[in-house]
Amino acid sequence: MQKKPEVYMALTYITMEIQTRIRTAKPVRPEGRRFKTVEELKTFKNDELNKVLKNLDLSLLKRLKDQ
Amino acid sequence: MNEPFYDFTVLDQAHRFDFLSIGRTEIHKAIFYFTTELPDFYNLVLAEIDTDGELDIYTVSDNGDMKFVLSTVYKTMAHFLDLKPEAVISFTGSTPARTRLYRIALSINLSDLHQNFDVYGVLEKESRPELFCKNKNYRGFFICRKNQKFTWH
Repeated sequence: MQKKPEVYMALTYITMEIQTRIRTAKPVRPEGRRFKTVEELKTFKNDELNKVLKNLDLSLLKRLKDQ
Repeated sequence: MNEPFYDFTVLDQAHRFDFLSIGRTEIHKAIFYFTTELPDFYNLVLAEIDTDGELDIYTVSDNGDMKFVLSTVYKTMAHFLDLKPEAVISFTGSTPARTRLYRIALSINLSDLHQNFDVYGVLEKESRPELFCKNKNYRGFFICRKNQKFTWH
C-alpha cells in the first residue's frame, strides 16, 4: 500500500531524529566514584587488588624473586 | 594483538601512558602501572580523564573502538615489560563485566601472548594463581615476561 506523503515525511523526520540522538548521545555515566588525583586512584585500585590477592601466597613470589 | 592501536604518550617514567580514543567521540584515556607493596609487582589500571581532570574507571564509554583500546593496552604492556623485564603486571576489571571482557580478550589472544608472556589467572579462594585457561571465572590476571626466574606452578 502506498504511504501518504505526510506519513512518509513524518517517518523520515522521526528516523533522522533518532539517528541524530544516537550520534550525539553522551556515554552512560553511572554514579560511580570519580578520582580527583592519580594518587587517590592508585590507593583505591591497590586496595581493590589486595582483595583479589588476599588468599594468595604472595610470599612465594617474593621468596623466589629473592633467590 | 596485531590490531591497529592508538599512539600514546609515555609519562611518569613509563608508569603512565596517555592516548586519545577516537570513536563516536574523542575520549582522553590513561593507562597506569601503579607500584604496589610488592617489589616488581605492578597494578595495571585503565581510566578516562574527564574534561574537568577527574579520573573515571567506571564509565561505559561505548565509543566503538574497544579493539583499538585493548590493542593499545597490550602495546603499553609490551613497552613496560621491555623496560622492566622482571615486572609482574596484575589487573582486574573495575566491574565484573569488565573483568569478563578482559578474560575474553586474553582468551582470544592467548596464543599470541604466549609467544612472549606468561599469563596467569586468579580464582576465588585459591592460594596461588594458575596458568590461564579459557572459560574459567578468574577474578584477576597476572602477566609477565617468559623465562623469569620465578614460577607460580
